Amino acid sequence: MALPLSKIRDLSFKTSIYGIEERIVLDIGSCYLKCGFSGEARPRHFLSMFLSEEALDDYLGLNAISEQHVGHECGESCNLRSNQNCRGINPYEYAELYQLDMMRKNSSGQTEQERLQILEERLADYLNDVYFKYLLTDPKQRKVIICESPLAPIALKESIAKVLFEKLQVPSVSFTPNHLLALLTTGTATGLVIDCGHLETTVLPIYSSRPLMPFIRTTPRAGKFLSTHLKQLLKEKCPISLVDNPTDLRIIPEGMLTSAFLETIKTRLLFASPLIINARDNIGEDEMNNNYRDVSTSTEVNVEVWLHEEQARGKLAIPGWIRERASECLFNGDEDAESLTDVILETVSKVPSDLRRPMISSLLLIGGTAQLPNLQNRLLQEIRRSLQTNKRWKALSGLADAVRFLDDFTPAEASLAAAAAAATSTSAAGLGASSSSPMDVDPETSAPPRTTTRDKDPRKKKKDQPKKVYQSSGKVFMPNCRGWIGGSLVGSLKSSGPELLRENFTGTVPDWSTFTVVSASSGLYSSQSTSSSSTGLHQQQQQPLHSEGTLAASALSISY
Amino acid sequence: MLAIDAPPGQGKTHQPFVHYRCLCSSPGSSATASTKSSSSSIHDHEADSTAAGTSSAADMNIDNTAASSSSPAPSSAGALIVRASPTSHESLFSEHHNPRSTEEIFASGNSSDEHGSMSLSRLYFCDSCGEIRCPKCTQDEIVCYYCPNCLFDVPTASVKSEKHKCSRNCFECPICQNTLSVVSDDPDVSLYTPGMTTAAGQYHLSCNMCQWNSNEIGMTFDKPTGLAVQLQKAEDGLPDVKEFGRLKDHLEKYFRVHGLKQGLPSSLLSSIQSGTLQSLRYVSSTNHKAQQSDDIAHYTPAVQVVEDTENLEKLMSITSLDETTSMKQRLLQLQNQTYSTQRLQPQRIHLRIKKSRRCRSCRHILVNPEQKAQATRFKINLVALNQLPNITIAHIQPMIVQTVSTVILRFTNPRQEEAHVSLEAGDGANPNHGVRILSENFTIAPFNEVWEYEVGTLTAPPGQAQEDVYDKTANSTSIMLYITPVAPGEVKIPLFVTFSFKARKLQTETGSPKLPSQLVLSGAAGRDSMPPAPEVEYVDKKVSFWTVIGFGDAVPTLSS
Ligand SMILES: [Zn+2]
Ligand SMILES: [Zn+2]
Ligand SMILES: [Zn+2]
Ligand SMILES: [Zn+2]
Repeated sequence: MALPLSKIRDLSFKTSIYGIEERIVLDIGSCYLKCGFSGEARPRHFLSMFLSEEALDDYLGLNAISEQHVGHECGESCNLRSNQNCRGINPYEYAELYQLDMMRKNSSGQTEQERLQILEERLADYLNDVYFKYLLTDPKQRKVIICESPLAPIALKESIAKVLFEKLQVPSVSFTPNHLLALLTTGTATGLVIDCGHLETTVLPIYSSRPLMPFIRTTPRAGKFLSTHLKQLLKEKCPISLVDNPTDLRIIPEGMLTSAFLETIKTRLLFASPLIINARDNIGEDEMNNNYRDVSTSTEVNVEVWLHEEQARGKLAIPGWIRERASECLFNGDEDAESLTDVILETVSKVPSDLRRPMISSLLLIGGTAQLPNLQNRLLQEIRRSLQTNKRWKALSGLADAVRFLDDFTPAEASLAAAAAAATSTSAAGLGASSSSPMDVDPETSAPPRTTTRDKDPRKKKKDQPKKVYQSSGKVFMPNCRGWIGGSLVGSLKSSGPELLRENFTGTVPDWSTFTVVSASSGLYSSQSTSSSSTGLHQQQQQPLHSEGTLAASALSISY
Repeated sequence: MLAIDAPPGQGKTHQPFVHYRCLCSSPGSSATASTKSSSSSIHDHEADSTAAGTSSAADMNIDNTAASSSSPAPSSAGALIVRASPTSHESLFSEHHNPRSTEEIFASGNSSDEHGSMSLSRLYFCDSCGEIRCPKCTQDEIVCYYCPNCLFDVPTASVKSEKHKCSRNCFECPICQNTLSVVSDDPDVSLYTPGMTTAAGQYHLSCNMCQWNSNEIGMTFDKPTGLAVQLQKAEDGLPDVKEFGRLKDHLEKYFRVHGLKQGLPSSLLSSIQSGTLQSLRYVSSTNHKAQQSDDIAHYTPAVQVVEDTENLEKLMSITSLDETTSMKQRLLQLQNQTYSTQRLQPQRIHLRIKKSRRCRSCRHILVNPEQKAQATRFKINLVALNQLPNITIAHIQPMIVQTVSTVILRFTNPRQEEAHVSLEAGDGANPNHGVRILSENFTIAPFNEVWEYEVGTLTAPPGQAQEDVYDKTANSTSIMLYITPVAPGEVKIPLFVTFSFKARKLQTETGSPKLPSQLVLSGAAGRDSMPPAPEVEYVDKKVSFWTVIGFGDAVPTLSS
C-alpha cells in the first residue's frame, strides 16, 4: 500500500522526519477502541472495554467464582482476583470509557475531577496497550489521527491529547470528524451520515465534504438505550430455571445484568425484525409485547448461567420475540428521545430544501449498533413508511421514492432482490400468524421490499437523471469500522484535520470556539457554541464568494 | 442503597499489606498537589545527592570529585553548604518530616487510589535519581520482536509488512485462540522433505483444545510449510483491501483537484472564513450540476459486496448462544466480523515485544532485557525488589481499638552490602493511630547466596555489639512495633524509611561503558562519567522513601 516514490516526493514539502511513516489511526469510542495504521483497509485491533472474556465466563460458563470481577482486562495492574481494587468495590463498572455529561455527578457520587482522573488513567492504560501490546510500535515515531465524534465531550479530547503527548510522547495529533471519514469510504462526499453508536445516535449532513454542523441532530436511542431496554425485558420476561429443578424459577439477579452480560446478549442474539407492526394508538406496552410474541417466528435461546446465591446452574430462556423486538425501542420515539426515523427525517427537513433529496438518497448508517443484523433494512422501511403515513413528515412525503442507503445497490440489482426474498419469507409467515391477532398490520410497509421497489423503480428513473445507476461497493466495509477506515484513507493521503504538535501542547486542545480566527467555524464545530457562530455569520458576509476550488479546499479542515 | 455514614471497613475486610510509595503519584487528583509533590521530590533528590556527596567525600577521604560533580551549579553548591552545616542526616530527615506531606502521603495510601502506593514487586528503583519509580513514571521502549509460540526473533524490517504476526507456522484457533498444529491426513507422513510428492490438500490445521479443524471450513494445504504466507495473501486479497486501494486512488485525485493538499496552515484561514453559513448559502444557491462536478458521483467501486442475508435467517433459528460467534472471535476477524462460527478463519499468532523501561526524570534505563527472544536475562534490571529492603509483616496480632497490638516487621536486605535502616512513623495521618517503634535504627546483614540454603538465627559477628532488635536471621532483621488503634476500621500507618549502605563500586564492572551511571550508586555522581578508579571504591548511598503499612481492620473494644 506504499505510495509510489514519485508521489512521496510530491508531498515532501510537508514531510517531517516522520513524513513518510504511516500514521496511527485511533477511533476511541465509549465501549470499543479501534486502532491501526493508516493505509490499511481495516483496523489492526478492535478492543473491547468490557469485562474480559474470562470474566464473562463467570456468568455464562460455569466457573463458580464467588466474587464478581469488575474491571478491565486487568493484566499488569491487578492480576490477582483477591486484589481489593478488583473486588467489586471499584466505584466504576467498566462499561463506558466516558459519558456525554462528564460534568455532572454520576450515581456513584464521583465529582467531575474524579471522573476525569479515572478517564485519564483508563486511557493511559488502554493506549499504552495499544502501542506496546497491539500495534507494537514506538509512539514517538508516528503521528496520530483521531476519528472524533463531533459531540464528544471536550474533556475527552483533552484527556486523549494529554495521554498521547505526555505519557506516550507522540509527535502530533489531529482530530478529524468521524462522520466525514466514514462518508469518504463510500467514494462520495455528500450524504447524511447516521452514527448509531453506544451513547447516542448523531445524524450529520455533509455536503461536498463539508460537515453541516448546525444541522446535526442527536437522539439517545442507540446502543446503551437498547441495553437498558433489553435489561428491562430480561428482568420482566425471562425468569431463570434451575438446571437441576426446571420448575424452580428465579428472577435474574440484578448483579448478573452487567453491561458486559447485556452486550453479549445484544451482540450474539438480537436482530431487528423485518416485519413492521403498526400499533393502534394508545396501545399498552403489554399488549404490544403480546402482539410481538404472537407474530414471532424466531426461536427461543437458552443461556446457561451460574446463580451465585443458590450456588446452582440456571438456564435463562430468551424467547424469540425478545430477540427480534428488543430493538423496536430504536424505532419508537417520544419527546425525550426521538426515534431513529424521526431524528433522520428531522435533519432532512431542516437542511436547505434543495439538499433534501441529495441527503435522503445518500444515507449512510455507521456505528457499533448498526452492526445489529437487519437494522439498516428495517430503518429503510421505517423511513419510507413514515414519509408515506406520518403527518409530521407530510412536507417530505415526495421524497419517499428517493430514500436510499449509500451501501445498498440499485433496486434492479439482484442483491436487493435477495435481501427482499429473505424479508418476504419472514413477513409472509408473520402475516399468516397475525391474521387473527388484534393488531393492524400495515399492508403497504410490511409488504416485502421487492414489491415496493418494483413500484418505485420506474418513477425514480423518470424523475432523476435517466441513467442513474448506483455505483456502490455494497457491504464491503463493516459499519462499525467505516470511520476508522476513512481515517486510514485520509492518513495515507497525508491529509487530515489540522495537526496539534507536541511542542505546542499546553494541556488543552484548542476549543475551536475560543480562537478568534476560527470563530467562524465554531458553530460548525460544536453545536453548543451558538453565540460565536453568529459572529461567524457576520464575518462571512463580508467575504466575497469563494471559487469552488477554494471552498472545496476547506473540505477536511473546515470543521476547525 | 449504600449506607454512606457506615463506619469504614464495614461490609468488607481489609488485608494487611505493605505498600511503597512512588513520589510521582500525587495524592488526590488536584494539579497543585501534583506539582507540589513532584517539586518536593526534586528537592529531596537534591538533598539526597548532596548528603551522599559530602559523606562520601568525608568518609572516603578521597579527592573531591564526587562532591564537586554532584553540584553542577553554584546555587546548588550553596545549598550544599547550608545543608551540610547540621548533620546531613538530620536535615534530610526533617525535610520529609512535615505533617502536611505525611497527610498527603497517607491519603495516597488509601486503597481507592491504586496508583498511589503499591507493593514493592511492581516498582523500580532508579539509581541515578535515587528514587522509587513506578510504572507511571517510567517509559516503555521496544527492544525486539518475537513470536510467543515459536520464540523466533523477528527482524524489525519485516515486522510491519507481516502485520505484526508470525510468518512461520504459528496459528491460533479461531474458536478458542489456542495454538493450532499442522497435521496430515496421512499418518505415515511425519516428516516432510521439500520435493516430496504429497496428496493435494492433505495438510490442515487442528486445535488440540477444542478439536476444531480447518477441514471444517474447507481449508487445506498441499505442503506443511509456508502456510502463513498463504493465509496472509488470502487476507490481503479480500474485497475490502481492493476497495480501499481504489478509494485511495480516487480520493487522491479528488483532493488534488480541490486543492486539499495545499498545506493546511495557509489554507486554513481561507477555509475557515468560508466556513459554516456561507458555505450553506453557497450550497443552497447551487444546483445539482455543482454537486455533480465536485462530487464523487463518478466513483466506480472496485468490488460489490452483497449483504449476507443467510445471516439473518440463521440467526432467527438458533437455539443456543454457541451458534453465534462471540465478540472476541468476531473482533479477531475484522474483515467480516461474521456471526457464523463456520466462517471463522485461523489467525496467525500475534507477535510480542521485549520492552526496556526508562526513568522519565533522568532518562536512564531501569530495565533492559537481552535482545534475544529466548534469553531470559536482563542486561539491566533495577527492579526495586533487588535494591530496597523488603518489608514484610512477620507476625500480627488482631487490632482492637485502644488496645496495644504487637506487630513484627521483617526487613530483608537484597543487597550484597550491609545496610542501615532508620524508621520514623508519620504522625499526620488521620485517624492517627498510636505507633511505637521499638528499634528505630538497626542494620541488616548483606545478602549472601549461601544463606539461601541455610536456616537459623545468625549470631552477631564477633566484635560487634548485639543490636536491640527482635530477631536477626541471615539477611533480614525483624523489629517490633506496638500499634494502638484509635478508631475502628482499617488501620494503616505511614512509615518513613531511610536506608543507607556502602556500595562497592567495581572497576571491572561488566556493564557497558556507556552506562556507568547505572552502576554508580550516588545519584548526582552519575551525571559525569568518572574516571575508572584504580582500586575498589566505596560510595555511601542513602535512600529515603515512604511506605504505607496496613494492619487489617480494628474492631471496637467490648466496653465501647
Ligand atoms: Zn532516574
Ligand atoms: Zn511513579
Ligand atoms: Zn511463531
Ligand atoms: Zn480451539
